[in-house]
Amino acid sequence: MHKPLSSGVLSRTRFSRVLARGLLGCLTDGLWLLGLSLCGPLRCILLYEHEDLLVLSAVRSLCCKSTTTVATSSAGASSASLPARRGGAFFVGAVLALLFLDHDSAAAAVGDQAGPASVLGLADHKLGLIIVLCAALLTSLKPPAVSADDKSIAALSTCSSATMLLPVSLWQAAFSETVESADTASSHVLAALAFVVFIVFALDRSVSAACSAQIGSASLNRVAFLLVSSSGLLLSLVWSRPTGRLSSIVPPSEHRLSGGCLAAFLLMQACALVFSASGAQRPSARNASFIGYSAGGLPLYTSGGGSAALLSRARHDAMRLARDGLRQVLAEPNSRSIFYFLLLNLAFTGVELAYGLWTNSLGLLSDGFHMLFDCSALVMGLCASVLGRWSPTRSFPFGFNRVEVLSGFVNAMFLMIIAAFVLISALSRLLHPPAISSERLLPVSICGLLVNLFGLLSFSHAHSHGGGSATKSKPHHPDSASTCSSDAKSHSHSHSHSHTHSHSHAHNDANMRGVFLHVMADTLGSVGVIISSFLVSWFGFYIADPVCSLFISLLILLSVMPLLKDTVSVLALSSPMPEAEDALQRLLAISGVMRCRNCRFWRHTNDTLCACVHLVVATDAGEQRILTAATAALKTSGFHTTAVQIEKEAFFQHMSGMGNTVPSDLEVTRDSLMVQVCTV
Amino acid sequence: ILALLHELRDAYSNVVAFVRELAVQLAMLQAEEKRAKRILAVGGLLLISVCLLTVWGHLNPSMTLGAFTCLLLFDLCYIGVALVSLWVERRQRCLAYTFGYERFEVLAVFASLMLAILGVFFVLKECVERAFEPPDVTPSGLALGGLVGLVVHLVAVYSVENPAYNHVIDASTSSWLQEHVTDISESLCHHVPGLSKLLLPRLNPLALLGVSSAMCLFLASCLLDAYQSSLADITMAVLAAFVVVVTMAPMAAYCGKILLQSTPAHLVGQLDKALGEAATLDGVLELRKERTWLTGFGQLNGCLQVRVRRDASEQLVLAHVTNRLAHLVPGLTVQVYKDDWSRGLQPSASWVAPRFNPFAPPAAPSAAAASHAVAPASSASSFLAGSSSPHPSAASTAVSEANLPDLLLPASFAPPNPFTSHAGVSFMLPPPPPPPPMPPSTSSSTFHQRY
Repeated sequence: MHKPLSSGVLSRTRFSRVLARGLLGCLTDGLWLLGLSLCGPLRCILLYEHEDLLVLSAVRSLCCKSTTTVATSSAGASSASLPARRGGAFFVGAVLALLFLDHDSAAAAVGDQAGPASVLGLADHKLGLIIVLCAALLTSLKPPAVSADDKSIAALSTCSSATMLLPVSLWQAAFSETVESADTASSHVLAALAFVVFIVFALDRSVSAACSAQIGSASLNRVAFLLVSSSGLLLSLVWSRPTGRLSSIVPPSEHRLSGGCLAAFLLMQACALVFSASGAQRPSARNASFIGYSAGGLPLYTSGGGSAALLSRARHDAMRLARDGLRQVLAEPNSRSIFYFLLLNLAFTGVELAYGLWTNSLGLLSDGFHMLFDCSALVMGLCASVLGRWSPTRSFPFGFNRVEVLSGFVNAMFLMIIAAFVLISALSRLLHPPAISSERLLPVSICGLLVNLFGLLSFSHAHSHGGGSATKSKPHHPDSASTCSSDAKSHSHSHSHSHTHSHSHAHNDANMRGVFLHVMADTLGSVGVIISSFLVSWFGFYIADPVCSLFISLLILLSVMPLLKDTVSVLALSSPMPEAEDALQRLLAISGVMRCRNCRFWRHTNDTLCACVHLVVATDAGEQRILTAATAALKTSGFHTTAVQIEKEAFFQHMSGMGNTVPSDLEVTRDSLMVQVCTV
Repeated sequence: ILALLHELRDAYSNVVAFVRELAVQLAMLQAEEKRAKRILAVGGLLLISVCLLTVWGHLNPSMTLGAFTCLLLFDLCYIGVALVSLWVERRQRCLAYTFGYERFEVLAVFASLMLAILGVFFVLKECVERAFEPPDVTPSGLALGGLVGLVVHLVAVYSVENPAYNHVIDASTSSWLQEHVTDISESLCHHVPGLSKLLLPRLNPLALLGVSSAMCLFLASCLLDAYQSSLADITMAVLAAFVVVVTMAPMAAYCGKILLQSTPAHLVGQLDKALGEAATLDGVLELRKERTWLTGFGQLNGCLQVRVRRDASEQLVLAHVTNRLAHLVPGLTVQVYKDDWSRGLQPSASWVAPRFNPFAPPAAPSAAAASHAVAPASSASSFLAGSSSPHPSAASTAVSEANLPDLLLPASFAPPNPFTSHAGVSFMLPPPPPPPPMPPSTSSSTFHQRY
């Protein structure tokens, strides 16, 4: 036994530490006792009795998970913290199993109204569990007593918490004695109290200290929790089925054993195993990060400052990321308009969801979730339009422009799925039209229509700017929604038919088109809701609702088709057809060029055309002259990213001399612009 | 409005034409390929089981069963991808698709993965709605439905040969689920070594997905049995949806990167090494705008600009650069250019060509060149594998080799190791071979060029 007061008079800082720890101890023990009385011994043991290790590492692993995904999702870090994460998942699963799988969920609905938990509408067990969890978290906040100094502080803080609690308990004892005149002898109470105090506060601590000194804290942690929890399980097993003499003593327990308890027990064991294993293997390597190599060639690590430093760094990174992202978003008109509309849409969705939750209306909620889908599409469009402006990197040598095409493709598929779902549900409702009440939906859908009309206007503005350079002939009416949509379609239509001049691609931005179509589909949905609710409320046509949604889904499907076709043709590397033939004609017209082989033409984005061509030229032709002429010819045909390989007979001789064969296909000669595909 | 109707009619006729074309292609495939029949048979089985599960889901509105039905719908897409790769196999390059049709495979895989992920969104939405208005779900038949679905899913995954998906599964990074299962099974094999043959190889993520979804369904049925709360069903549905997203996301990322014309990450090291070697070739001043991308699964294309010295021979440099990179990038286009060529060319235009190609008469080797021009394209695929390429020293009888002695390096250097750092490049280069006997005129010129 140590002597707490051997170091003399308490200094001021030590006194404040003792006080703070005493307060914390009071709070923890009070919560623990309350939870114990509410949820029974086994559940309390499962959550509380694991030597502070479990909760702390679970929280840390969960925090690390979030920070690693935010800061740097490097593969090494994620694989290192893998078992820890699984342990965290086990812990969460155990808590959830205790919370939701316990047997009292049905009983609570019937409700014993006496418990304090009925204030919050929770069952006794659940409230108790939450309280115990809080207590465990508080305990894990307490720094472990390592040095003798800390131990003395711990002992003193226990005393201080006892002194803090003493007047309260004395007052309560006096008060209760006056009220209900306890018939139990005070000596019995005092003896029980002394026993509890001795067991809980003195013996427990010193025994665990002795054990940890004997076998080491890691293995103690592993064994202790196993022992404690399994003995708790055994005891509660005995309690839950009292037989023989025991049944006379033990009342039919309310803290019975349940399947949820068993599941939580198993999960907690797994969690403890994982944490103790990972903690025992590499206690410090998890926080260390690799810096580089020393002069001798050995790897150097820095010891990271634990989870707190990681958290602060992640917060800093996230702040910087958000600031940079916002600047990038606001730098360009397209992404800016998407961003503003996204904010508007999000606000509307939030209001709708909150109102739906408040009034508990399913229609509003589902409409709100639909708006949330729209927001996700908008977020995707926003990301794509920001990402599309990034400069090329080593692994993305063409830059990120194609992200916009990809986002347009994904948006188109998204719309198709939405349309398909609406179609299916409309068909199933066509047979059995349900009676709907539309009085609450109508104002909401009118508001949604207004929001979406605003979006349509802003995006059609961006459209006319983006596409106006290419097509001057098409009149623009950015006043009403229907003309806008027909305008959008006629654009896509026009470039599929008018091949008169070389590049006539009205919509150079598949991303914006996808977003536009999304907003348009939403507008159509709002219009449909308004029309159908009018029909239902005035004429009682309950079938109007499925018919409307059928029509709308067909409309969406058909209007998405052109976008889908365009993005597929870009993503599948189809060659831009009139331009490619034109370029081949121009290339073969250069003097000295005998034939083209391995022609590769593709459209990188909607307005960037690329070409890679091998030209076989006459032996006496000047290569650099032909190169310049060919590049110029490709440029006039609209290809701006080009690579031309000039080959003479000498090249083939060199290649065969080095033992290489020259693969060749798609040979085009001058006299017949005919494509010969070399068969294998 | 008339214009709108016209547009819609046009789009409708387009769709009808597309569907008809699809049916025609499908019939052709089915008539000519034995594999297609098998795939279609499995597809029919899938369709039947999807209908079965849908009806089941109508009778017993369990959300977890709905999620499982979505998984079977994804299997239909999987079957469709197998059909697409059969179709692609039979198509050849044409001017409309100069890279061939391999990209359609990538697109099909990406589309199916994205459809699965987007479908999951709808499952989640449905879950949230049901959390507010819970229908009465009974546990009866859920486990049976899960069993039927699992069997059909496993049949679809394992009985259909699907090269595109196999490639994606091999090449993409492991999913979260795979990592955890591997970790657990490793520690399991630590205790029970007999299981190592079964558990230690990389598990198929789709099979894993099916098993975990079915487990969700069983668990949901157990929980419903025990607690009669539809919350259990919803929780399990959310869990199943999460597993689907987690499994599909890495594969979708891999396909998306191919669609974005990016250099595959595992080839960057090898490419850098080969480019570093090409930059040290004689006459090469710099390599610019090196761009490589995958067209399909495995077919690497690239283009490159090489700036050469003003007095270097373009054809020679071109041949050597192509030779150096051909095993990595079969479809390579090298643009050789000189700085300010007009000024350099004028005084030397008369002698540059004869000086470096004295043994290249235009008429004599044309037959050989023509035969190489129509060389079988299958050699390209063997180059990609990097396993074998012919040795130039063995085939040294060609005429043109006499004038490139100082650049002669074996084309088949050891298969590049991605783990060697750049310091290892110079180490791996074989020492330049001793100059073979050559005509005196050529040797003087090359030595002049070199020193």
